Amino acid sequence: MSDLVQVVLSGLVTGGIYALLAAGLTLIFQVSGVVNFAQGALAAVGAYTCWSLENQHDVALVPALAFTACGLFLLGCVMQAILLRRLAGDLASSVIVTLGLLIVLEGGIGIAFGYSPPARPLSLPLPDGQFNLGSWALSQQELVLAAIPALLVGALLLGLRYTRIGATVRAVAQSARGARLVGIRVDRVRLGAWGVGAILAGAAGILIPSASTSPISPGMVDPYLLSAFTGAVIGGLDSLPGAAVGGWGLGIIQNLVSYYTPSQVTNWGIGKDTVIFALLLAVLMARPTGVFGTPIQRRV
Amino acid sequence: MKRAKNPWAWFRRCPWLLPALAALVTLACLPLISTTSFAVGFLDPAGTYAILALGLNLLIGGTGQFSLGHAGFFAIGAFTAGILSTNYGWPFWVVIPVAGVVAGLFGAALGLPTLRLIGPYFSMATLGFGLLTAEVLGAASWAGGRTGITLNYPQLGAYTFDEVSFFWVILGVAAVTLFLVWNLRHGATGRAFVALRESDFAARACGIHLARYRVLAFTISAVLAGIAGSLFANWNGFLDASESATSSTFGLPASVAFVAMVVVGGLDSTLGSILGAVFITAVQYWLQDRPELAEMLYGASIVIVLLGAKGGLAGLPAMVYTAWRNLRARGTGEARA
Amino acid sequence: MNVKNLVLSRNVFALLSVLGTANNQAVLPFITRQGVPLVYPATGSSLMAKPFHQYLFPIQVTYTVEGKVLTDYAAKVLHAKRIGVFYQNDDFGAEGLAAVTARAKQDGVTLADSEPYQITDTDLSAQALKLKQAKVDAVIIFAIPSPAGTFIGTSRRIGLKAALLSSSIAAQPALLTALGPAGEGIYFSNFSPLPDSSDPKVVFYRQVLKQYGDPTTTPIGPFTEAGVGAAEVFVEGLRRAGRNLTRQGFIRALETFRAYNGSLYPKLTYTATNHGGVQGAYVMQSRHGAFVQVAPFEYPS
Repeated sequence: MSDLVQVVLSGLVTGGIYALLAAGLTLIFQVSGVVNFAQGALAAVGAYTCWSLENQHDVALVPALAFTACGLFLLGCVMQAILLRRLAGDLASSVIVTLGLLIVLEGGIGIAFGYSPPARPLSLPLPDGQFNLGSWALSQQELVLAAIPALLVGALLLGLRYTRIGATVRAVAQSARGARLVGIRVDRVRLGAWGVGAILAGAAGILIPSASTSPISPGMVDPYLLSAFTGAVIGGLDSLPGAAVGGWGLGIIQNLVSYYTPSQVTNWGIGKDTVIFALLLAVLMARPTGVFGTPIQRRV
Repeated sequence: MKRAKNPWAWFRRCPWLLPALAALVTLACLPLISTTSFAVGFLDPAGTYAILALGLNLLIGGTGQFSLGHAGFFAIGAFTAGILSTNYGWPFWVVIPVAGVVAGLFGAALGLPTLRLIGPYFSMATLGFGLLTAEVLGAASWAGGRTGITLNYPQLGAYTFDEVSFFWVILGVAAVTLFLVWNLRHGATGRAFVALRESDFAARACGIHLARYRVLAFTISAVLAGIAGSLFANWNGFLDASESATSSTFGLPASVAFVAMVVVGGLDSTLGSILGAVFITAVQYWLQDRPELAEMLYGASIVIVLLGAKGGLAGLPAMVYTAWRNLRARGTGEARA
Repeated sequence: MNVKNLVLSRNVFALLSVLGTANNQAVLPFITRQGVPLVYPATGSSLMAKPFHQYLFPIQVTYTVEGKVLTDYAAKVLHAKRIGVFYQNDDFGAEGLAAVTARAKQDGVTLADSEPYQITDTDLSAQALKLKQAKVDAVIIFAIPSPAGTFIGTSRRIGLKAALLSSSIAAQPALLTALGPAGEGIYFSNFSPLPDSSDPKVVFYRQVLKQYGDPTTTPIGPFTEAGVGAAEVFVEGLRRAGRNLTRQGFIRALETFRAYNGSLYPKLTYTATNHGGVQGAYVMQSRHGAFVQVAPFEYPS
C-alpha cells in the first residue's frame, strides 16, 4: 500500500511540472488562440537564466528568481507582440510557428551555454529527510516539490476567479469581441497572459532539475513538454483547471502504468508512452475539447 | 484526356513538357558526376523527401491543417521495407509499393476519426500518432528494436544499386509522383480541395463530400510518405528508431522538418514543396557538422515564412517582383500593388 | 552519414571516436568496406571486439566486463545476496544485464529483479519501487548520466536501501553535484585512472586540459580523459607507423601494442587477431563529490 502512495507522490511531482506547463499553455490558448509549443523553450530559458545568475554571477536565490520572473514576463510579452499578432487567429499555423520558435530558442540556449550539462547544478534549497505519516515514510523533498506547483496553479486559479483582473482575463477568454465591446483592452490582456504563461513555464523549468535530480541541459524540458501537452489536451484546452488536472492526472497515470506493467511487455513495444499517446488519440477522436472542456457543438 | 495521337498537338497543349523533360535529363545526369557522400548527403534525401513533401502538400493544401506526425508514416514505410527485405528477402521494387500501401492503410485508419478535428487538435492528434509509431518501432524487438535493421543493397536482377545509382530510382518515382500530384491538384480534385479549405460549409453545399476528400488527401499523403520511407531504407541501409520520439529520422524533429519543407517551399505551390525539400536537405547537408544550427535555421525559416512571406520559396519571385515594382512606383507615386 | 561523408569526400585517414553503440554498429559495415581504421569507438559494447573486426580498435572496457566486475564486487566485498539491475532499454543496457545475469549465477547471488527504462522517461520511481519490493541489497545500473542521476535520486527518496553500483558511463562529476548528498557513496566501475591521481600520466592529462581546454565545457572527468587517452593511443600508433603513413601501416603499427602503458590506459594490447581493448576495470566510490578508488584492477575471466 505504501508503495502505491509513493508511486502517486512521485506522479504528483512530475505531474506538477506538467500542470505548470499545461496551465501556461491553456491560459495562452484561451486568451490569444495560440497553442504555444514554445512553452518548453521558455521553461529552459527560465532555468538557464536562474542558473546563470546563481552560478555565473553569484546572485542569491530569491533575487535570481525575481529577476528571472520579470525577464520571462517581458519575453512572453515580446513574443506575443512582435511575433504572434501577425498570425491573427490562424490556428493551424500558430502551432507550427511556435514549434519553430521552440527549436530556435533551444538552439540559442545550446549555443550560449553549451549542449552538455554544466558542472554546477541548478540547486534549490530543499529539505532532506523523511516525513512520517503514520506508517508511510515520504520524502520531504518530494512533498515540497509536489506542493510548489499546486500553490502556483492554485494562486493562478484563485486570481482568475476572484480578482478584477482575473474577470477581465476570463472575459477575453470567453469572447474577445465581446470583451472589446465592454471596453477591455484585449491587447493588453493578451500581453499579460503571455507574460504569466512564460513565468509558469519558467517555474516548471526551475523545478525540473530538482525533480529529476539531474543536471540542466537545453533539451531537458522536451519530454515533460510532450506529456504536458497530452495532459492539457486530455484535460481540456478550454478549461484551465481541467488542463491542470490533466497534467497532474497524467503524471500519476504514467507512474501507475509504469509500475504495473511487467517488463516483458516493453519488448513488444508497449510501454507507458505508448499508452499515453494512444490515450491522447482516443480523447482527441472522441471528445476533442477534453474531459473537462465544453463539447464542440458543430458536427462535421 | 486522351485525344488525337498527334505529338505536336500534345506539345502545344502542354508547353511545360519540354522544360520538364530537360530538367529530368539534367537531374538524371547528376549521379554520373556525384560522389557517394554527396549522393547520400544530398541527392538521395532531397529526392526522397521531395516525394514526401508533395504528399504532405496535398494534405495541407487539401485540408488547411498541418500534420505533425508524418514521420510516423515515413517510419512505417521504412520499417515495412526493412522487415520485408531482410526477413523475407523481397526485392525492392515489390517492397516499395507494398510499403506505400501499408502506410496508406494506416493513413486511412487515422484519417477517418480525425475528420472532425480542427486546427491544433488535428495537429496534436497527428502528433500523437507520429510519436506513438516512433515509440513502438523504437522499442519493439520485431522492428529491430535496440539494434536496428540493416538492409542489403537493392538489386534488380543482376544489377546492384548503390547509393549513387539509386538516385535514378528515386528520380523516377519523384517524377511520377510530381506528375500525379500536379494533376490531382490542378484538376477537379484539386479544386474540391481548395473549396473545402476555403469554406467547407459552402463546399458541401455544392455537393463536395467532405469526408471523402479529406480521407483521400490524408491517405495519399500517407502512401507517399510510406514510399519515401521505403526508399530511404534502401539507400540509407540502416534503420534505427531506438531514440523513438526524439529521433531525428523518425520522431518529432523529422515531422517538424517535413512540415518545414512544405511551409518554406510555399503552401499553395506544388513545385514549392520540391523546392522546400531541397532547401531543408541542403541546410542539413551543409550544416551537418552543427546539426543544432541546422535545426535552428529551419525553425527560423518556418517562423519567417509563416509570419511574413507566405508564398515561401515558390513565392519568392513574385515577392521580389512586387518589391521591385513598389520601389519603382515610389518615384511616380503610383498606388502599391 | 557523417562518417560516410568524412571518409568519402574528405578522405580522412582514420577515424577517432564515434559515440554510441548504435552509431558504431551502423558505421561498422561501411568502414570495413572502405578499409578505414577506427580508433576508440566510444562504446563499451563487446560487439566491437567479438567477432574480430580488422579495422576497429576499441579501448573502452566492455559492458560485459564491467558487469562482471561490478557483480563480483557486490557479491564478494559488499556481501549482497540479492541484486537488481536497472538498465537502459537498448543494446547497451541489454549487454550489461546479460553479463550480470550470468555472473550472478557464478558468484552465487540471486538476481531478484531487473528494470528497464526508456531514454524519454521522466519519472523512474516505478522502477525504483519494484526494485525495492524485490528486497535487493545492491542495484547495478547501466544507464547514461541523466537517467542514472534521476534513478539514484529517486531511489534515495523512496528509501531504497541498497548499494548502488554503476557502469563507468555515468561516472560524471556533473551527476554527483546535481545529486547532492544523494550522490554519496555510489560505486562506479572505471577503466582509466582517476583524474586527480598523482600518476604522471594523469598529470600530463591535466596539463593538456589546462592548456587546451575550458573548465566549463571540458571539465576534468571521465569523458575528457577518454578523449585524451584515445588521442594518445592514436598518436602512438602513428608514431610506430613511421614516416610512410598508410592505413594498413597504421593498423599494423597498432597491432604491435603489447601491454602498452604509454597512454592513460593500462596494459593495452592489440594483436593481429585480437583487438580487445582494456580487459579489466576497478571499482571506485563517490565521496564528497569526488571519486575514490576502493578496489584494485580486476581482470575477470
